[in-house]
Amino acid sequence: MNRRTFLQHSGKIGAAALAAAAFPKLGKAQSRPTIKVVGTHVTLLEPIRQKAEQDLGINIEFHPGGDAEVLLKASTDPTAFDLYEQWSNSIKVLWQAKTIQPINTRRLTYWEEINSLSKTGRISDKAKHGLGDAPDKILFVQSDGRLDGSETEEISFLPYVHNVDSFGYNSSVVPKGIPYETESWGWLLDERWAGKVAIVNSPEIGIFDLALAVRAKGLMQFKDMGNMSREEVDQLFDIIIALKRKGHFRGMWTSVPHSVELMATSEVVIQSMFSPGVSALNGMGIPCIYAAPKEGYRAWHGVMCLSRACVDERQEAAYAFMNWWLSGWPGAFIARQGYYISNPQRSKPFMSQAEWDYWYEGKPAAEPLMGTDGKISVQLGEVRTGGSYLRRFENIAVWNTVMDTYEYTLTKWNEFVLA
Amino acid sequence: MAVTDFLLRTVGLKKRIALGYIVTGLVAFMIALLSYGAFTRLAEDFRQIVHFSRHSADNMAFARQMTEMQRQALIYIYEGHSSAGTQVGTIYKQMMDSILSSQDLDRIGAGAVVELARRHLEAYYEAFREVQRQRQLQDRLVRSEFRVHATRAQQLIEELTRQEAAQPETPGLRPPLPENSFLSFIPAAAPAGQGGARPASEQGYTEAERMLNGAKMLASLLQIEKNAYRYFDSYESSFIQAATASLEDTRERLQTFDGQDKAAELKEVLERYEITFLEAVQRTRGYLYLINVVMSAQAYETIYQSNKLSAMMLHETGRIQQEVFAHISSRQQLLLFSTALLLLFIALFSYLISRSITLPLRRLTETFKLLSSGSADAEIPPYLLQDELGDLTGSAASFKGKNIELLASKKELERSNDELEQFVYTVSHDLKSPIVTSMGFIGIIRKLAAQGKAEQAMGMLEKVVKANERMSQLINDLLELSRVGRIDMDKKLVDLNALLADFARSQAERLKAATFTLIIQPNLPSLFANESRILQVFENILSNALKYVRNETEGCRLEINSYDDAQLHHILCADNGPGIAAEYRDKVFGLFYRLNVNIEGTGIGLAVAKKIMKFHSGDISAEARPGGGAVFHLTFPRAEAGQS
Amino acid sequence: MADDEKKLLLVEDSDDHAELTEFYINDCRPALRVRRLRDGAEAMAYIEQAERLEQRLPWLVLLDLKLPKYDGHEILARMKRSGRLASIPVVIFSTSNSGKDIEQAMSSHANSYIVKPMEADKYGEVISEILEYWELNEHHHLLREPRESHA
Repeated sequence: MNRRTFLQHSGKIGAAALAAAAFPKLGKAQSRPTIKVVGTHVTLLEPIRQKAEQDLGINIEFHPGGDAEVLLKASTDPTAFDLYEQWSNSIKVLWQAKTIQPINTRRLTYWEEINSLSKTGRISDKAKHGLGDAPDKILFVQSDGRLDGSETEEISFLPYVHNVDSFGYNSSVVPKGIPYETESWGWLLDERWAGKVAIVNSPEIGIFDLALAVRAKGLMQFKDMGNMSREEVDQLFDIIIALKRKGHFRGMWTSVPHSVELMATSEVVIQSMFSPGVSALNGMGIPCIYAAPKEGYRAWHGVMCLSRACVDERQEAAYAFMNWWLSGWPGAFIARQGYYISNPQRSKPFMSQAEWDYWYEGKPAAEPLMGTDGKISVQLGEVRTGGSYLRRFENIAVWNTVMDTYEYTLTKWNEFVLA
Repeated sequence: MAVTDFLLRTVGLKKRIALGYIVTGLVAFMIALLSYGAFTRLAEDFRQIVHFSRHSADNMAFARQMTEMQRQALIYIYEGHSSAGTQVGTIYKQMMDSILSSQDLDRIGAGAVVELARRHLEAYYEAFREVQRQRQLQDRLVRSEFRVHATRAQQLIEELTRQEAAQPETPGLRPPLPENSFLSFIPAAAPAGQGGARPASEQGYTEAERMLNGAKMLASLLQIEKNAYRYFDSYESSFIQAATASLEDTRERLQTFDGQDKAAELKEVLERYEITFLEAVQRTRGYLYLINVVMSAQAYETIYQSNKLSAMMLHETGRIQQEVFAHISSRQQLLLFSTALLLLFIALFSYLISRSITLPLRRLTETFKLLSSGSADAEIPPYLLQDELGDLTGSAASFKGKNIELLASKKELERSNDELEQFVYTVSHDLKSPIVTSMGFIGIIRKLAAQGKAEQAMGMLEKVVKANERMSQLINDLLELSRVGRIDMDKKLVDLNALLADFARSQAERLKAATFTLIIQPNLPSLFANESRILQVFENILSNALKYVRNETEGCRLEINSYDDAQLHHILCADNGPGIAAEYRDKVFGLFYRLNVNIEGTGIGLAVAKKIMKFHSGDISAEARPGGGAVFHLTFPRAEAGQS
Repeated sequence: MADDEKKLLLVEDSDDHAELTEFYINDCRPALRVRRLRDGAEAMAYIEQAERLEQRLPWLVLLDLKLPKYDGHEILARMKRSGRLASIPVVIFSTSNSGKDIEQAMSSHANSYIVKPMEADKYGEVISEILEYWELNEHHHLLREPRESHA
């Protein structure tokens, strides 16, 4: 079966039947391999695990955990996992820790379908190449063992889920802005919201929100925001620590529910946000707008890594799982949470036209749309902020990145948090 | 005033006075009660303030402790002092105790905040435990495994080098490296990776090159260790790259020794060395992340919630303080107002009580003044209660009664004086009259005698006799009148039917002579009276009728009849004579009053009858009889009524 | 003026007293005519008649006080209220010598008050003196106001 025949089909049933047929059961009669997947709650979802087990005939264990926890686990003990699912900013760590092994693109069924965002860092010709660790920069394993953008047959991770982040604001307090025109990261430092601003508690993410805000306000410039020098880090933290001491920030949020609670209790009116948090607030009737900053988004790319300790049968199962992820259904599933998949065309048949139009095309919802929990998450006529997939990923300011000054930023971060 | 009237009507004098005291006492008690209430409330408010102040103090200590804990945690991490780690645990315990004792703050809505602070603190400590674990793991890696691998690698390199030196072709070319050559190489060590080993080929190395590489490997090994320790000391990631580059360099140089057993073992050791190093690096990063990001955020949230709690308590304390001031002020006003009101009430009440005492006294004084001046119509103020004032009012009433009696008896006395005067006047006139007559006629007789008209004079003598006879008759009648009420006045029950039947019999002759009919109706009452006097009344009435009644057509008649009413027996004696004109009906009962002087009689009969009737507490009056004639109407009090 | 033209009105209930009075009047003035009235009622009737009719009025009135029906005081008051009879001299001739009677009679304009004597021989003297006095008084009266007697 080739791609053309696959795409002739439409509708979920047909696609599902094809998908099932596409994966010859690996386990057969003799043995049923078990793979351990370590990652976060963003992708380690029970419906996905069940569906994959059913489709692949293997046992899959999900070990979801906090960002720091899973990264520590994966970076110190390759036997703790077969596959590791997290963000592109963990690749440098893992690669350096040598706990993961390269993935051979020839064994990836849908490698050719993966779009240019992951491979070149740009979704289209007119797209900006975001600062920091754009996925292409850390994707290909070079002959000297470094990771870089020159295409090779070995890659450090499987590109799959990705999205852009920005800040959310309560439009009943903060005046509504125009996407890409007036909405700005600088709003985070607006004195009017002093005391009601929160930042995600993650130095490799939150630092960019702060840096974008500081730059938008014209308070400082960066030689390369994606890889700040110690001096730049010092300057940035001097500014934000001073602001924090003046009481500008309510604090850091440590989880998505925490961010929801902060805004729901009106302790915060504007803050770094992840898209599920925005959906949750809207579900509670709080008019939280997910901004489309004119300076561009802070983007992240999901990575699926293969443990150095994953070999033989388990390696085969791991590859099967990776291929399954790009086979359409999972992409459609996570699209309903607002995430994109690297080969969206294959997921399109698993979505209704209205879903596709809303999530990928940036068009108004032609009908109320269900979330992954089966409840209506998008009302009729609603439009996704920031527009289409293309529009959003053409406007990337920076990618979540572990910079060379990572350890240094950690200590500064502590100073900032406790200021 | 209505209240005074009410008091006067319903509450006795002593009770009124007692009531005054009781009400005053109650009012005082109420004032005391109000004060007590106000002070109790104030005390409660004050307790609240103290309570919150204590919690606020605890809370400030809480924030300090949190900061101190994070400081100790950082000391533990960066300095490696395990005592600082223990200190974190101790502070954590203290803070948890403090939080658990703050559970009662739930009532100011702080429960959720306390709970959040607790959760963040727990998360903080949990992260710290993980930090400790990672720190220990890292420590073990760095202090133990790391050293083992490094030492082993050094040994292997040295052995490899010694093997080269032991080859027969190059004996003594190089002195064997001393055991501690590791250190002695440092100054000579070339920069790591600089002028790195040439691409390795199995047999393409000279002995000298191998010896040189061996020395350089030792130098690289030293660089690895040095950079690794620099990293663990400074957390500068470039040292990791430097360390891994040196490792890479060592590996490359090792290729010179390919094929040797020791070389294979060294390669493995280097592999393990690298893994250990990288794991230690990741564990370092892990705990750095935990302490700088996770713990700091939890610490900040804990402090934030604690500050929030402080603010809430401060606000609550402020609110209570304001409430207290408001209360003090309002209680003051209330107390003042109510006290003033109650005092006013007492004043009013006292006025009412005193008025309820003085008012009747004043009225009574006024009444007594009037009574003492002899008034019989002084108004007795109404006073219904049986208390002292009631007694006084009773006295006034009896005083008045006495005055009324006195006045009545005075009037009675005046009346009887008048009566006596009238009697004397009448008697003197009527007694003089026969004397005038007889003296006058005696004068005539003398004149006639002087003129010798003896016979004529003798004729006149009869007139004198008659006058004197009349005189004695008058005197007898007067005596009779004076006897009434003085002699034979014992009373008994007299049956009029029997009495008058006897009377009729005794008068039968006289009536027959005068052709006069006396009719006595039956069912006459029995009277409690003096029998002979009552009989005299009827005799006098009959005599009167016999003198005055002249009825040719019907025949003369007197009819005695009776009827009773509630109080009186009425006895009617009706004749069919000429009747008595209305103007003489009272006069006929006067002494010596005669309607017709030419009819025989002294005019004393009806006067006697009147006096007898008065004596019996009854009366007699003259009335007109329908169809002509007079009616003498006698009334006697009914025996029953009289006795009761 | 001759005695036979004169008339004296005697108001007296007692027959004995009337007989005495008339006897002594006849004794000293045989020409004087006496008209006797027996009680108060007769006297009142006479007064009313005298007021209405142009009859010859008495020269003098002898009025007893104690009379049946209307007493002397009432008669006196009635006479003195009457225009035609008021000028006729009224002599109260009574056994009463009580001050009360005298006062009342004088205040009712009685012209004289004579108590009936209780001595033998005195009665005639009193009658004679009354007549003499009023004959004398009449002369003075006529001299002073001659026309009145003709009226």
